[in-house]
Amino acid sequence: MNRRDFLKMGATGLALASLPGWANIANPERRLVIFFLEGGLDGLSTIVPKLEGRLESFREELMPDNLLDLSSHWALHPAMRATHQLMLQQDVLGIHATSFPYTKRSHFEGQNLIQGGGLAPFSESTGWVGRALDIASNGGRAMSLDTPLLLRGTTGVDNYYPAHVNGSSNPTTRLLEMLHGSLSPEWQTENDKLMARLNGRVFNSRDRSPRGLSEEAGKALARPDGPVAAMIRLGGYDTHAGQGGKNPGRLFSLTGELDTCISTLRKNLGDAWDNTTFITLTEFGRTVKVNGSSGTEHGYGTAMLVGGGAVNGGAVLADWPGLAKSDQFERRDLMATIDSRSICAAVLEHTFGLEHAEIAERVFFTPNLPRLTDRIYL
Amino acid sequence: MRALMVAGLALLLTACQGNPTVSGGAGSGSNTAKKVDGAYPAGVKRYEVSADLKKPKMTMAQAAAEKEAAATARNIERNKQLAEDSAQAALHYTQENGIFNWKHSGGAFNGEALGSREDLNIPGGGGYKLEVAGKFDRWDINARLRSIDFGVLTDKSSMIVAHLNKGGDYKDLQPSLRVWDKALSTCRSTLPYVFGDLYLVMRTTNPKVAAMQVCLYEESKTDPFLAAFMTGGEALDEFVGNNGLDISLN
Repeated sequence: MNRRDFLKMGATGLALASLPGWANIANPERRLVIFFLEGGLDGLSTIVPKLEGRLESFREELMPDNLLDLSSHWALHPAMRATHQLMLQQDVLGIHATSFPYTKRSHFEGQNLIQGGGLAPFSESTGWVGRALDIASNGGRAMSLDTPLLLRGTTGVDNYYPAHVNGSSNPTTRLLEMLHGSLSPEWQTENDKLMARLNGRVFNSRDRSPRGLSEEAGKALARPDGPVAAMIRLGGYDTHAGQGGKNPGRLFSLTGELDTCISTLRKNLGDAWDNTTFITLTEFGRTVKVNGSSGTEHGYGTAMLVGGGAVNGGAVLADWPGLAKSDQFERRDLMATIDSRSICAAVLEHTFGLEHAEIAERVFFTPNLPRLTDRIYL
Repeated sequence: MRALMVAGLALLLTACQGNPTVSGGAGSGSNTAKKVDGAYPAGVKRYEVSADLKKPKMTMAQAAAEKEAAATARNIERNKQLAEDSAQAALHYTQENGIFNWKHSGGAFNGEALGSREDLNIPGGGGYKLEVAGKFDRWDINARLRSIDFGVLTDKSSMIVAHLNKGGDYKDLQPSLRVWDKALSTCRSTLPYVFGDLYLVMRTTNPKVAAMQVCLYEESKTDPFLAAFMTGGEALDEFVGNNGLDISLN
């Protein structure tokens, strides 16, 4: 199996991050969900810039019919009906021509960088969400070794990552019960949480489909004592061939799957949706021009979705760079004019009650990172 | 000349600064630097969803309350409409256990079956048809009888569709068709209909359909042929039943 085949497999996964019982966080009811779109999302076909007259000339066969109109300037991919409704209800915001500042077009470097949030790929052993949780909670402890980089903190947080281990679906809690009496009160709280989890009250599903994981994430995050952050990994966005356009192709299935995940998450969060923010992340966008296999190559600028009850949705945020050859990044990609880290910083500021300056300095190591919080939240 | 050279050198240095080679970090990439150097937020524009598409933003609780209020309003309106339709239907239907039965009978139909039952091949549904030839008073008709599951439109309904015989007195029946078309329009019929077809709903569980049939009857009873068709409907139904046809829908 080669690298590309591996990426095509589209492995899905869910990771939940909780704060320890003694953590004192500013807004403990707020939640964060990250849909991690592995492979490089084609932002130009997801949030279609109708304002850009040149787009069709570069990729006519990739232009979907029956676009879901947002305005005279923008439209959503036809597979994203639920998300479209949420945009009309002002709960979802589109961000366009955005990217992490990474331009080398390598999946593994890019995925590492957008999870690590550092200044270069593989420069950080912790993730930007994990570091923010560390700052917000003054530390916790790690409960799983296979936690995605994104959620890893320097001192660790209470993480959960479902794994295929024989017998793991029916573990005994006897040992934990025996330990309970000998633990200090705060560790008893953690012990209780672990027992609850093992008893299946937190995560009790064998359904590892993206929809199933979104359902579990929604239910878990909706609990008052539930996790504060979740990462749902969706794969397969590396659409080199058969991306689809006039005829439904791979991107139709992928965006449809994301759409289902978003609506499922919202449904299962219930009232907690009002205190939850979700974002989509992907390592890079794709080329403006269609390739010879009815697909697109690795690119740079892409699109993001930010949603939730507190999000000032119902719009697309963009500093549109244009698609003239001279406006394209390296004359082939959509230019990124919004640093995705600014979006992530805004989400951390809102969700965990941190100061933007602290996030810029200690989470993203970029003191002059622009602040966009007021553009994203009400 | 020296000033020009200095300016050119400065320009070159500026261009080099804007083209870092290290991947990652703010400002990597040739054109990226000028865009993500901290100055861009002023250029970020908020493109609102069109006002005619935009819906009010609500909390989940508000959305749930609005959904419940809308459902309640819909139920009230539906019950009111059902009561009105039932009252209208009662003019010419007898109602028993939620089934409306057409109560006119002139005993005016005589005829015979033509051929055997034929499947209608309705996608996702069921149904069949069989033609009968007969007479209403002095009029010859071909009655094309259909058994169709109309789903939510009519719930369970038994309907007779009659296609006018193009021979004989067909020309004389043109005025009747015009009256029928006008009645269909007035009563806002949504039932399947093509030019030359008449239909009579004999039994239905849907009061809206029954009310519409009563409307059609009232709007067309001044026409002698249509009046004979309607009042003879039960006889036609009996004829069909006597020929071993089941036109009840389920």
